[in-house]
Amino acid sequence: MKPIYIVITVAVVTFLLRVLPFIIFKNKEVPKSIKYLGEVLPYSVITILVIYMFKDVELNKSGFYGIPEIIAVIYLFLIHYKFKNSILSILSSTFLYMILVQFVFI
Amino acid sequence: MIKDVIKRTFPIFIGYFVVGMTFGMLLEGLGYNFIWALICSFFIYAGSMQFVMLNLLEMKAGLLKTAFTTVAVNARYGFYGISLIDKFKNFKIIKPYMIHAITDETYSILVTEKSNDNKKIFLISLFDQLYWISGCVIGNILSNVLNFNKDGFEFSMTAMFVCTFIDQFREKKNKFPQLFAGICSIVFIIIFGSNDFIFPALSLTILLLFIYRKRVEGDFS
Repeated sequence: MKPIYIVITVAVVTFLLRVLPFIIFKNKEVPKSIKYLGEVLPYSVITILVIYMFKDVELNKSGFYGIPEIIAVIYLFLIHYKFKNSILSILSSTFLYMILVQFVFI
Repeated sequence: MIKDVIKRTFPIFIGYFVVGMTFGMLLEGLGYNFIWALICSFFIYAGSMQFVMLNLLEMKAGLLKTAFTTVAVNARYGFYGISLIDKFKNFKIIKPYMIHAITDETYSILVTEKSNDNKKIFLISLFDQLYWISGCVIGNILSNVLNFNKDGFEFSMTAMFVCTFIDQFREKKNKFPQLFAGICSIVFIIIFGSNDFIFPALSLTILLLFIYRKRVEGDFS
């Protein structure tokens, strides 16, 4: 499928998802079940995305059984638990991973 | 007011710019230039989905799969809208833009913004997207110019999601949303492979969340 069509599809579907509640619930009360789903969904989606990221990451450097990934993620968990600073966590763990992948596990 | 908006959105500036650059670089790696980066960051404006789309582009996925994956990944934006109906009710001409600019981070700032100053709310959304667009475009352009070895830079995207996951995990006592999503993901990776599990996994997760609603709901509202 031509790339531009993929991009257009993603853009259109995304906008439809964003605008839907404004159309459906324009002058109505939001049902409790929808509110409930709205509360819990982000937690599930992020979980799915994390797993999705690791299926990518592991296949890329599969030569080393995902050991650089494991090291970087363990470091990430520790530093994020300790300091709760996203910028620090993201930048330093990425830096660590790049060093591992470029100089250590070659 | 501009100074105030910049101060409030500064953490988002850092995050969006760095992760945006990652996206721009990866996009360039697949052979797409800065025009594509501009189109994606302007018309899609959805970080996680843009990254998933890189995969879809690489494997030349069909439109149906693209559509279903987009629904699974971005459905939460629809739910964010529910909480923003009131906040947006006084916008007229730029309301479509305000709706378009709904993202995780913008949502979390807007719902905690006490004032009903429409101008400020608009600037917050606008600035967030400007941060994102500049990251994507600059990353794409510099990708050729910056000749350092960028191997492993894509980990920043993984790291971003893991940080969000950790923050969310600590928020609530009940972990069923994560548990259900995790189990369903693994099951459907086995059944459908690692590229096709998102939509079925989320569907089953939602079913489970309704079955166990009483257990989960108490902790969430």
